[in-house]
Amino acid sequence: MAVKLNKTLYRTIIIVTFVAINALIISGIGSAMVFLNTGADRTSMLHLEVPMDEVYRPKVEWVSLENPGRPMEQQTLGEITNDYMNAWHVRNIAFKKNDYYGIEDFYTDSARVRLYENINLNLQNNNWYKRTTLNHNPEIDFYSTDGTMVVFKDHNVTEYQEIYSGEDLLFTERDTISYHVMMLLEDGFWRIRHLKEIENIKDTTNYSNRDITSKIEKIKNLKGINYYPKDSPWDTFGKHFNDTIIDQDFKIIHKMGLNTIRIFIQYEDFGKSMANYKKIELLKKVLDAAEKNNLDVLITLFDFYGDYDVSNWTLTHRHAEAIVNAVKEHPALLGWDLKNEPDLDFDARGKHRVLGWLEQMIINIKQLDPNHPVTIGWSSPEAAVELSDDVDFVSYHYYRAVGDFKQAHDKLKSLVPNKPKLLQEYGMSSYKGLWNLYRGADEQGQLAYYEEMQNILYKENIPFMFWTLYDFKSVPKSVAGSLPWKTKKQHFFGCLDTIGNPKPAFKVLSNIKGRQ
Amino acid sequence: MYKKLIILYILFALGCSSKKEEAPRTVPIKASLVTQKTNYKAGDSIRLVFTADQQSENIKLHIKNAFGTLLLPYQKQNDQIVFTLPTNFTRKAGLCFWKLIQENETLLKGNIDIIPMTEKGTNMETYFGPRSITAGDNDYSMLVIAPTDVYDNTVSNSTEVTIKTQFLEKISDIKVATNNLMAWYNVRSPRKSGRVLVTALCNGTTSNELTTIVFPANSTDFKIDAIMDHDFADGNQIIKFKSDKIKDEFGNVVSDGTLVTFMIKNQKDAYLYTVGTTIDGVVEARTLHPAAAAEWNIQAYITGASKSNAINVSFKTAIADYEIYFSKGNRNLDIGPLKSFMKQLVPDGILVQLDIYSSTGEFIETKKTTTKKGVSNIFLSPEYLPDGTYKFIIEAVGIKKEIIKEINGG
Repeated sequence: MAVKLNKTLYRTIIIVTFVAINALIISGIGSAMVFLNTGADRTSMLHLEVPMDEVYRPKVEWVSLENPGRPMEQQTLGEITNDYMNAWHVRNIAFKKNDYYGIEDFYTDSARVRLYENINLNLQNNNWYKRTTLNHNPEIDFYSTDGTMVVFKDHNVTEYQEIYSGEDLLFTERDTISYHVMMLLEDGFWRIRHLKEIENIKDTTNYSNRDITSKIEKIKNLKGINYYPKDSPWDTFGKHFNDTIIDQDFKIIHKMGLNTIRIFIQYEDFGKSMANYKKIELLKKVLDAAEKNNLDVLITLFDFYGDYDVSNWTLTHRHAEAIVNAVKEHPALLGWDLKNEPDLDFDARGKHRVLGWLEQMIINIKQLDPNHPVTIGWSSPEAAVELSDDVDFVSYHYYRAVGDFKQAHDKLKSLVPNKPKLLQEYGMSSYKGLWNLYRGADEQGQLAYYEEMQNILYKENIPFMFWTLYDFKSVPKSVAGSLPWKTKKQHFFGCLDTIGNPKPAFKVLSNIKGRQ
Repeated sequence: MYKKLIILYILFALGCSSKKEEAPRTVPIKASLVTQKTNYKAGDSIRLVFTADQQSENIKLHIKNAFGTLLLPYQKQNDQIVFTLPTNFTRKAGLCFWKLIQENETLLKGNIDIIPMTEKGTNMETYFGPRSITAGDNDYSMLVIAPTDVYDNTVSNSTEVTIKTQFLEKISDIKVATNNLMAWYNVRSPRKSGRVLVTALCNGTTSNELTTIVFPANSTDFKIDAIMDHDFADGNQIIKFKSDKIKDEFGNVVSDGTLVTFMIKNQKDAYLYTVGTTIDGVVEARTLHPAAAAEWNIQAYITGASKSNAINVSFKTAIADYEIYFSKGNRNLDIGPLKSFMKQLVPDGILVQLDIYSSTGEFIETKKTTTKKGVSNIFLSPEYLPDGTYKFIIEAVGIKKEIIKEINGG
């Protein structure tokens, strides 16, 4: 008997080992195949040019074309602008990589030597720079009769640079510098011949002339909701866009006694730097529907954007410019929320980089639209002290225990006493199931949460926006990943269920106090 | 078992917990600038000296000019912090900004102004264009002078540049001042064609000689004449057209090679043309005599500029008549010999055309041929033209003949 058992055991062991060895060999071959198949994309052999539009788009506004030499033609002006921008771009890249690449196309012989010397010294010191310029205001001084030379002043160029030593970010600086430029037309390229720093001219534009008081008053009395349509969460402006559904939802929201909604503009969805005008039309439709239902709209920009890299700043600026200019006159617009929970990117992207980007974006939006307040949707009351001097009102999110809320809010209040503070996101998922080991709140728990929370909010007179109207059948992977214990609860934050029936908490949320 | 689970849990929790880094609090360093000088000449050695209440390797000087930025490492000399600017910064005129930094904090900042070093000499780049202009009062070439110092810095504003121009006997001197990195001067075209030489002088340095060519202005109207050896329309001789000297409004002879088009209109309002180019203002063009009597009206044009008078030329017919012989069942036609005005055979290549019509007057076919040694031959192949009665119309040298023949066999 024992012998038989032993035999079976041996057999099993041999078979299992055999299978295991085979599996190993196959997986080994597999990974070798994968390794051999990876590498450069085949199209890279074609050396296709990346169109300049996609990588570097600072704002360029010619102040004046008057000059004693020759009238400037639109065509030539375009070429000069293009090559001048290219000159800045290749230079920014050269300083980033400490590489001469591209310099000779946009700088004449004697000018490029200066750049090369500088790059060599940076290489020696092991320093490199991430630089970008944000705006150019060139003014023509002279354009020669034969059309081969141009001299202009580039006033008040806003430059931003990060200085690195090895891997470490040493220093960041924002500067405004003016240049005197001479460019020559050589074999089809406009090349920089002379570049000289000159004094800035006094900036006479008055940015302080903003009219946001009425909006700020509205924010103090804000009672709102974060809105996504039931069937297209995190994709309001996608394929499923239906303004009738949105209009119906807005009717419900208005009936609940709320006065504001928060919607999200996704960076890629809206066409990145080349804003997608079809999407902007949809955005306008949403704003129209909101206006019809007496709702104000807080627009969150740059959703799903997380790069913040200096090299891409100009692209995000053009994106913001297109969207802000398109809807800044709309009566339903309440304000601009620049970014949802940027503090969560601090670890991955570096706090300096994120804050630098936000700071510049605040300046931009305030310039583009002086009449709407600007905020940032921080993920916690503790993070909300960041840039509190720059924003017009402070927004934060709170998903922790109700009991600690008052204390956290008061602490923020003491640190930032002078600006309205909006609880921009809060809520409770009614998911209680396998994936959270039956530890979450159920629908009654959600009701209790809101009862308690609303009480504090009314008592303290804190403007609020809860999360959200509907339970969602599907949540995109990009929101909370694909792990069920992370994403499951995202489905159940609504006060209406997936088919639109009120959940218990709706009772509290549809009877908003102080309704208008 | 529970213990194991607890340990696992603790390990897991440790793995998940995030590191919290306390930013090291540093006492801000107080630094002050010792170097007082802020104005330099390009090429001067520049040292910025600071004192600070604390010494730290992290203190660095960040310098920036129009062409780039550089981070200078900490260097200590006798309790002072000394930064020596590299030559590519000291040799670049303009503003040079500096910042004394430590750990992303700016301790001090300032700028130095570097002016061009003109004492060591001046280099000059000149740009002159367009290099050809037309005589008269409207056109000009522009001379742009960009003087630089030895380090390739543009000289300061209002630096004097002397420009000399020479045309024929006249040499003139003009003084202009640099502004916007360069100086410029418009060399206006004289009324006479020729060459204008230009040179520039700045701080004792002279430029190369630069030239612009003054071309004559647009031509004015001119006269033409026709020259021929006889006036027979023999299709052989050449008729020559010749103009007088074509000049512009200032009396300059037009440039050699000016293209002149002679338009010829005949009595049937059909057009012919021939072209010629001028040499020393005179244009000659040629064309063949017509083969049939004709009345020509000729006028010459210089496109977009001017035209000539119109002249008339008439050609007499050179050939009085010709014979046609039919043979081989009337399928073979021998036309000629064609004889010219002195009974000589016409030159080869006179066009002979035969139109064939059916007996009912329907057009069938056209055959063309040319003469060789005064005669031409047409054979009407039976494969294409069956036996029958046809009407033939033969035309050569403007003489038309109509014959009705029966074709039979071959």
